[in-house]
This record gives sequence, structure tokens and C-alpha cells, in this order.
Amino acid sequence: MIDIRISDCNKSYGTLKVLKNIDLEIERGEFIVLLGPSGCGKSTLLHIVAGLDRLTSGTIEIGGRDVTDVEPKDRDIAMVFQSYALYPTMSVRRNMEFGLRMRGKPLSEIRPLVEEKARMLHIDHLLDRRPSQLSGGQRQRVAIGRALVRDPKVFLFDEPLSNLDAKLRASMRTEIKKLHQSLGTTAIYVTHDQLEAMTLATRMVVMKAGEIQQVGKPEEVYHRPVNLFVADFLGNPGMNFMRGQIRLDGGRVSADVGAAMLPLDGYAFAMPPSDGQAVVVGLRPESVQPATGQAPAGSEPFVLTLKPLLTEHTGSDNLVVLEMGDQEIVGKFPTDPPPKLGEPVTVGFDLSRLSVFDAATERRL
Amino acid sequence: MSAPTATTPPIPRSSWLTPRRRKALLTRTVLYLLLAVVAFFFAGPLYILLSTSFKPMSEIQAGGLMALPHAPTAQPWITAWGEACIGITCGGLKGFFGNSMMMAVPAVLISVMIGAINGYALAKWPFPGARFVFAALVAGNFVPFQVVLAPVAVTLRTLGLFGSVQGLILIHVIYGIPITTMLFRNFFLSVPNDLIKAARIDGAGFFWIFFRIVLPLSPSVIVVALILQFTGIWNDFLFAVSFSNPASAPMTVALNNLVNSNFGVKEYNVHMAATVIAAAPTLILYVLLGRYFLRGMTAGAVKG
Repeated sequence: MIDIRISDCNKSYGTLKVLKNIDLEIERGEFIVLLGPSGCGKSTLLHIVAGLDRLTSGTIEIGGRDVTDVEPKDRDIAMVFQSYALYPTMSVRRNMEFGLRMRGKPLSEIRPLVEEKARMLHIDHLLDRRPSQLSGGQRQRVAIGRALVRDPKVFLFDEPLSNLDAKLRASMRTEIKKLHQSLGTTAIYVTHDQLEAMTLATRMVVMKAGEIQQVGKPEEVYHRPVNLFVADFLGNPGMNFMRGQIRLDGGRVSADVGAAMLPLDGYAFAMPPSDGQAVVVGLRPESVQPATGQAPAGSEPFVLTLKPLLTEHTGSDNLVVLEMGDQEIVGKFPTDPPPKLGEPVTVGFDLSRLSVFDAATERRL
Repeated sequence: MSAPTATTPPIPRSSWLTPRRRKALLTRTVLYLLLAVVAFFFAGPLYILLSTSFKPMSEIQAGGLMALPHAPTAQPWITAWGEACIGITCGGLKGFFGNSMMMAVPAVLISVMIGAINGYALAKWPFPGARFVFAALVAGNFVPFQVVLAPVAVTLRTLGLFGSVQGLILIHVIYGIPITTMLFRNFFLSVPNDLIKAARIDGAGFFWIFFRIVLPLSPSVIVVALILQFTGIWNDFLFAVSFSNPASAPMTVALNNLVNSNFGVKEYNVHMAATVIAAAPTLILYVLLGRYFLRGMTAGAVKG
């Protein structure tokens, strides 16, 4: 069942187009993450769903109702802001009560609701404090609590964790995920943090310059990016890109990347490649590992002997920069044994994880 | 840095007045001297005003401007408040003090209220043309009042408000709006937009957000606006003398008439008492709210 339908949505400020023909359908109970670099329009899209911004053209439906011209308060949504946006002069309790009070719900019904949600978020001991007396993490809990109390049809999150330190961010992330799993309310979550996007999303939407690049399950977007931008934007360390040409030779397809011929027989081409076509071949560092002698299931073993140029120790792994002809690629190696610089090692490529892009259109082939 | 090293001999204990300290002491002395002079400059007239107002006329005529009264008397105050002749009536200042209050209190409250709402709308609810409206209001701050005297006179006469306290209220409200709007608008710019958005989603409208969320954040700027407007309106002479009649004249006009009346002996003690009475409300306001005033004036500066 479609809960939110965004149809042909455009938004411009003067001549600047910040959203271009956005179409998106969101099922009930989904957790949609809008991901993209700053200025890609993801926040604007969220504000439009909230009704805080007007769209230039297009329609928004929530729960089957056209809400394009409906005020935010009548859209049955709740929003959590990056800046928390708690009312500074009100106690935590009043903050959480505010929305329901504005809707004229009797206080006798509001009180137990607020207390229940406060207990759920472990902020019940803070109810009589002012926001200024709380830590960042506590404030964000209150902001989430304020949204929960309203029991809306849709939760909107606008980079809610960006103001928190790394450790707190990770634990709040888990909590938001738990909350969504227990409540099952549809949510749209804006972030520029790909880790948040990967872990929280049931589906993610990657945006760039006002356009949707790819919509899909996190693992799908991660492993099968539709274009070079998405491939490059996701993943840390980033995907390796090798420039080369397609070679068609007697029914066999391969990519000539200079230092090697990468067989592409197992690759599911979306469009048939042509001989000599200029391509960019992408492979994530975790698919470039020391050869173990056995290939991952379902693919031919493919090994190359490459010279390590540099290693970066990240704690859990060694990122090894390998010389590959006139190009360089990064592999994710175990920390033990550390590779010796300049001493060639046998490296296995997981070719089932390859992505091939047309060099001109930058689209996935 | 005070730790002696092997190459520099330790400074003897006796010469505690190091060059550095000596310099600091000198700066401080000069500073305090300067402050004392400035304080004397401002407090001196007030002292003369107060001491003269308690002297009988005989003491004043004997000279000794700076002397304290030998035989203090409250009579000048009583005369100034209830008996002094101003124009053709001899009822003292009390009626005019009432006029001033009747004029200033509503004019201040209304102009501050409107300025606050204007500033809130301009800062937080941008509408097409908001920038132009704001620019026009800013320009309004620089209109010299002399320029508008004649048109205002015509307007007030047309409205049937010429010579009335209500007419003065209207004029002060209108000419107070640009400055109060600017003050509030600049302050409200620092109120986070997310707060307004959150409240809109929570179901609050324009005025709910204003009264429940924005105003409670703004006591300091409210105080600044109140003080600024009250001092301006209470002390205004130009509009008062132009648009009032003897029955509706505010304090400033009455004080002028009292001090400048040309018959009889000049009763300096009465004049001084009248002056203090005229200045008292603004002084009291500063004493009561001055702390907030200072805080309000610097609040924006620190936050940017």
C-alpha cells in the first residue's frame, strides 16, 4: 500500500532548480533514506513532504490524500530536526505535550501518553528540565519523543544525528532502527552519512543536483550502482575505478584495463557492449584481497600479481595501494601479515562484484 | 615566564613595582581619573538640580550654587506639582504629568507591540516584497520629523484628533514603528527557523508561535524597545508643542512654559523641582530595567 506518492515534483528558487521531476512512491512502513552530497536537494524534498516548502509544480499524496496545498499541521506528520528545535522556554514535558495541546486533546489524555513515550526513550527523569539543561543526546531523544507522542502517519528526520559525536550517533542510530521496527511507521530520513543510510534504510534514494540517481535496497545500491556518481559516492574507502576498453573475442567478453584483461563473461550486461567501447570498471576494495587459492562461490578465480606501493592501517584492516600498470587500485587486506612494500603479492579479484560503466555516459552497462 | 633562568638574575623582592606593574597602575589611574571627570560631568547637574530644588528662594538669591540647602524645604516641589502657574492656569504640573502618562504609556505599548509583530513577520515569515517593506521601514527611521510636521497637522485635523492626547498617541505610534520593527526584526533573525518549523508542524499558527515561542525568548529586546520608546516619547517636545493644546499638553511643553514664563521672579527652586519631576519616569525606568537594557543591547552583538 502506497503511503506517500511524490509525483513530478519540481522546485525552483528563481532560476535555480533545486528539484527536478522527482517521482517517488513510498510503501507503508518503509524507512526511506534520502542520501546525497550537500546541496543535492534532499532536505528541500523533505521540507516539501512536510509542507514547510511549497513546490513549484507536482503533487504530494500522503495516505492517499492529495496534500500538495495542505498546511504542515494537517498532514499528520512529525519531524525531527538536526538542531533538535526544542522550544527553549518550555520544560521537556511541555515540549512533548505541545503538539497534542495544539490539537485540543484533553490534558488527562496527553499526560499518560507523554509519560509512556518518555519511559520508552529513557527520558522520564528529565521531564521537568529545560532543554538547555540537557546534553545533546538527551535533547535529540526529547525531539524524537515529541514526534512519537503525536503518533503520526509519517516520521520525517532531517539529519537528526549530525550534531552528535560519533559514538552517540552510532547508539542513537541503533535506537532509531529499533523504534522503527517496533512501531512500523513510515519514515523519511535525510542524511549525508552513508553509514546511517546503509544501516537504517529499507530503501535508499541517492540524489545529486536535484535529481534522483538511484532508488533501491542499500545492498543493491551499494553493489549495483546505476552510474559512476552513485558508485563513487557510496563506500569508504571508495570504489576502485579502472579505465579500459571492451574486447569482444569469439563470444567472450572482457575488459582490457591495460595491466590485465578482466573476463566479463559472468557480468549481467544491461545493454550489449560493443568491441572497443571505452569503459570504467569499478571494484570495491573489499573485493580485492590476497589470493586464498579458492574463488568466491559462483565465479572463476581471477588472480593478478601486483606490487604494493603503500599501506594504510585502519585498525581492523590494511588498505593496500597496489600498482596495476599505470593505474592504482586499493585492496582491503587483513592486518596480519602486513604486506611488504614493493614485493609483489598475488591478489584475488572477486569479479562477481564488478561494475562496468560506459566511460562517456557514466551509466552502468 | 616569571621563573628566573640562569642568565637573568632574579628580580629582588623589594622592587615589587616592576615596569610592567607600574605601567598597569598608571593606565588604571588615568582611567579612573577620566571616569571620575565624566561622572562628575553627568552627576553635577543632577546634584545642582536636586539641591536647588530643596532651597528656599532667599538661599538661591544669596548665591552658592554648589552649596547644600541650609534650611531644606519641600515647598518648591509642592508648588511645582500642584500650584505653579503654567499659562493661564495655576494647577501645577500634575495635570500635564497625567497627560504625558496618558500619551506615553499607550503609545509605547502599541508601538512596541506592532514593532514586535512586524519584526516577527519580516524575519520569520518571508513574503514577496518583504525586503522592500523592510527597506522602506529602515528609511522611515531617517525621516527628519520637521519635514512631516505640516502633513501630520493636516492629517490630525482631518481625523479630528488635532490638539488631543489621542492625536499624539497616533503620531508617536506611527513614528515609533520603524525603529521598533527594525529592533525586533534584527533580534528575531537570531531565533532558529527550525523552531518555527517545528511549531508549525505541531499545529501552531502565526500568532501562537509568536506569543508562545518567539516572545518568551525575547524579554531583553522587549525591554530595550520599551526603554527606547518610552524615553523618546516622554521626552519628545517637537510633536508635543506642535500638536497639543493647553489642555492636552504633555510635561515637556508644560515645563517649557513654566520655565519660560516672563512675569514675576524666576522661581529657580520650583523650576528645578519641575525638571526633576519631568525626568523622573525615564530615570526610574532605567534604574528598574537598566540591567536588561544592557543585556539586550549586547545580546545580538555576541551571537552575531
